[in-house]
Amino acid sequence: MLTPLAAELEYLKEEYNLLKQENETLYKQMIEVEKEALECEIRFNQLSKASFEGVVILKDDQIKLVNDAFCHLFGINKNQISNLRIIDLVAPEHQKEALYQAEHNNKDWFETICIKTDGTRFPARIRRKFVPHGGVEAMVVVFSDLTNDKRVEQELIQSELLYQKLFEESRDAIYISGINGALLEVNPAALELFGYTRDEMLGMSALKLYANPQERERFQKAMQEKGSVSNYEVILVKKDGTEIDCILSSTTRRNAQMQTIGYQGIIRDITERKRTDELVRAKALAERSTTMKAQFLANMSHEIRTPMNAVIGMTHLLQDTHLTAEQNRYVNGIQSASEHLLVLINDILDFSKIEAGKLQLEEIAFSLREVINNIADTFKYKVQEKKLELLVSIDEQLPDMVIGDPTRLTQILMNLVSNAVKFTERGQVRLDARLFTDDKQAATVAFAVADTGIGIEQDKVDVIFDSFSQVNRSATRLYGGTGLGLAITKKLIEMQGGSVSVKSKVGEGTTFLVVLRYVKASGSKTVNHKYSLSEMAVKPLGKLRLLVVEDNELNRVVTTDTIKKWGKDIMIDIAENGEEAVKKVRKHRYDLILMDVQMPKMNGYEATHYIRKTLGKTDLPILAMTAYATTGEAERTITSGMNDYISKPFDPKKLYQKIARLTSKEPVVLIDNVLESEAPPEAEKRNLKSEIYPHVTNLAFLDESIGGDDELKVKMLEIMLRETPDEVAQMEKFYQEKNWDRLRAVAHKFKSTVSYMGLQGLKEVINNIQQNAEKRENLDITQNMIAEVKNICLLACQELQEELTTLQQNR
Amino acid sequence: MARNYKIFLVDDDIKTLIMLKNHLEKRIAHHITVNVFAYGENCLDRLDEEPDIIVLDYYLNAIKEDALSGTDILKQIVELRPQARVVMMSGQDDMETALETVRNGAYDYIIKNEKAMQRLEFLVNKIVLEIQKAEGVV
Repeated sequence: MLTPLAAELEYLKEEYNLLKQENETLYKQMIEVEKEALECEIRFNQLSKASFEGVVILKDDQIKLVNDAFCHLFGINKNQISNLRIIDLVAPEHQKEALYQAEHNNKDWFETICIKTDGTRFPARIRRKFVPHGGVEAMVVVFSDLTNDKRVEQELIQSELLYQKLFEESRDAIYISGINGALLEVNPAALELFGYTRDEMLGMSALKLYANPQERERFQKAMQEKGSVSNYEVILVKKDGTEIDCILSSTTRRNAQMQTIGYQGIIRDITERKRTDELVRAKALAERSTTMKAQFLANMSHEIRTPMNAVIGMTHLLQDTHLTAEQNRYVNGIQSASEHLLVLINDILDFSKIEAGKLQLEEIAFSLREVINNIADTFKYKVQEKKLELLVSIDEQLPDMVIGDPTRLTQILMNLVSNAVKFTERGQVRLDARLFTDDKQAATVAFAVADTGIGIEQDKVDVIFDSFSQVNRSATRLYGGTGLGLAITKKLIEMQGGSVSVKSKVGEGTTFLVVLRYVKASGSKTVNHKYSLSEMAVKPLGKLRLLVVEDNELNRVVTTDTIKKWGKDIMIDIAENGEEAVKKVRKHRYDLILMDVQMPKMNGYEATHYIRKTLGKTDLPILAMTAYATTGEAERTITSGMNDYISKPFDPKKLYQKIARLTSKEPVVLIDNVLESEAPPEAEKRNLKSEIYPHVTNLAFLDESIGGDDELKVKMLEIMLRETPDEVAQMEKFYQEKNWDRLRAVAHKFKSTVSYMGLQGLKEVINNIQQNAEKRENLDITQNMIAEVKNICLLACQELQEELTTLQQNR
Repeated sequence: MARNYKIFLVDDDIKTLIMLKNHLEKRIAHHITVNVFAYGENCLDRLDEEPDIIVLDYYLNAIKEDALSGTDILKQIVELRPQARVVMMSGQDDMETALETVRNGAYDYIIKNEKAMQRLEFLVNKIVLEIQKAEGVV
């Protein structure tokens, strides 16, 4: 029996030993772990005790450990911590914000307001970090008290100083008010703005500052709804009752419990700005409408002159028929009235051309003496009629030939002399020209026009150069005129860099003094293309075959009937447009072509080009007839291959002279040679030409950029001709659809079109369209702007087409 | 053989494309290839051709309303091909925005006016020089 027992005992012993061994190992392991934990805690305590910062170790959201500094910081006992939650350490009113920061802040710290057990609050920075603790991940939270933080203190001081400075020195009024609206604090700018003293203003109700009490109610309502209002436009009132336009931005002031305790805000006086804005807008509008009117008139020039041409021409013809004495008197009446009307129209057109910036000055050599003598000649009879004396004196030192614009000088002096004659009933009119200063290159010349007429009252002297002014209304009725003469004169003088002044005494007379500077012309180049007015030839023109190319029927009749009278052997053919003209030139031999410039189908320039280049008739004289009486047009007719030009309505005497000159076998008149020999280089010429009315496009930029590559130019012209109408149509469409964003985009793109076509005048307009569309402003006038763009572009496309045709023919 | 420089021009105005291309081809003394695009999207599709310079209009939606704007295209170029120098073009009135694009990674900008072509020419020469320096040619 013993044996089994012994065996069992032996087994149990072994079992016991095994278990004991196991137990020992486990115990050792346990000791190791405990030691580690202990070491960790010791380390923590050592660390955290040395720290001034409160340190908490959290595990599973439960506070496991705190250091002494933490207990001290929050006034808490170490054994109270087990029930504490971290969030309880944050002041209740900041908990929400703190939680938000803790969750959304990317940094591992944030600042907030903490609360001690006795309720005291203090600013703190809270840092978090995850660390292994006792083998598990735990969170360490460190609280730093910022109350005595030097940095914070300094920042506070600095920001306080800054705000104080801002408050004191701000140019905007700043106020702080209580919940009832009583002003608690205002800055010096506020006192200045409203005109109160500080004592008056503090305690005063803000209501007193409103011009309209309902305005304040509305403002307060907005404040209550949104908590803050910015850039609220309101009319406030000063102590003296003056109303001021202001913008008001305000925020609510709250206490720690988030209860409203009042308001604070900034007031900016925008009275001045508003007024300026309005003025600027009104000014821009006025200027725009002025230029548009001027442009309209300048564009109408052709339309107005054409019927005038018919009236004056037919009157001339009528005068040469058999008339009774009575009829003769009527016709003479029509003639003088229509000539008078033409002068008026020319005045208005000249003026509008200057206003629209479309008047171009000539730069040619001419004789000052001759201009002055011509004027004397012109007025000889008029002066005799009125029994006045016209005294002309010319300084001997005056250079003979100068470079400038003889037509404009004539116009200036004619205007002044004609005024002098008009307003003088007795005595004399003097025209003096004196050399003022003189150097190698240039001479400054003073022209004086003096009369012994009715004179101008002192207070009117300043305004006589203004547009549409005559000294008095009755004088207008008595003497006639548009009142534009002096305004034009002054503008012409100023355009040439000169000046004009006037001295006058009522009943004694008036003296106008014009000072102009001219570059001296070298003697060899002296050219005179003015025909002396006395040189009137009446001998028959001889056997001639002429071709009159003119689309207007009345003008055709006037021209042919006028010419027919100058000889029995004159044969006149008619062509109604350029195409017909070319056909006739192919068939017959002509001595001269009178070519209208503006025609449907092939115009005068194209026809001339064709006749010269394709038909090779380089000797056939062509006289241009144009309704655009500008120097630019003159130049264009010459550069495009015509021999001379005459403006419609034409003076029959001038037409006679031109025909006589062009059909005689003598060398071609000097004017042509001058213009040809002194023609500027190609690019420059194009430049000149296109700045001159009636060209709206200026391809100088395009030409320069392309650098003479005709193929590329053709391509660009084709694209512009194709795209421009589309782009304009798009603008119109988007305007109709009120699709302002698209309108803005298209207008923006159109700018490049404008700059390639050189439509200087449209730059501003297109900018305005773009801005109006962007800001949704002035949308009513935007339509007019688009219409203007369309009109100009129609002209521009015609010009581009001409250019393209010429280019393609040359290739 | 001298290196060829690839230039992409992106503008929704065909006239501008023609003029700029012509100007660059005539005036730039280096070997260059100029490709033009009316839409930024097409330019993005061909970034694998490794353009050295991309000239980009700020507004690209005048023709097609839903086209990507210059800024959008710029962002994608900067991401897809950061080596390319992007020169932005804009009207006077959006200069602020143009400057903003420089901050967003554009190389430089050009205001669209009469001097734009000269300025582009200058910038292209400048960039080529920079590339040459970087590649150790000069």
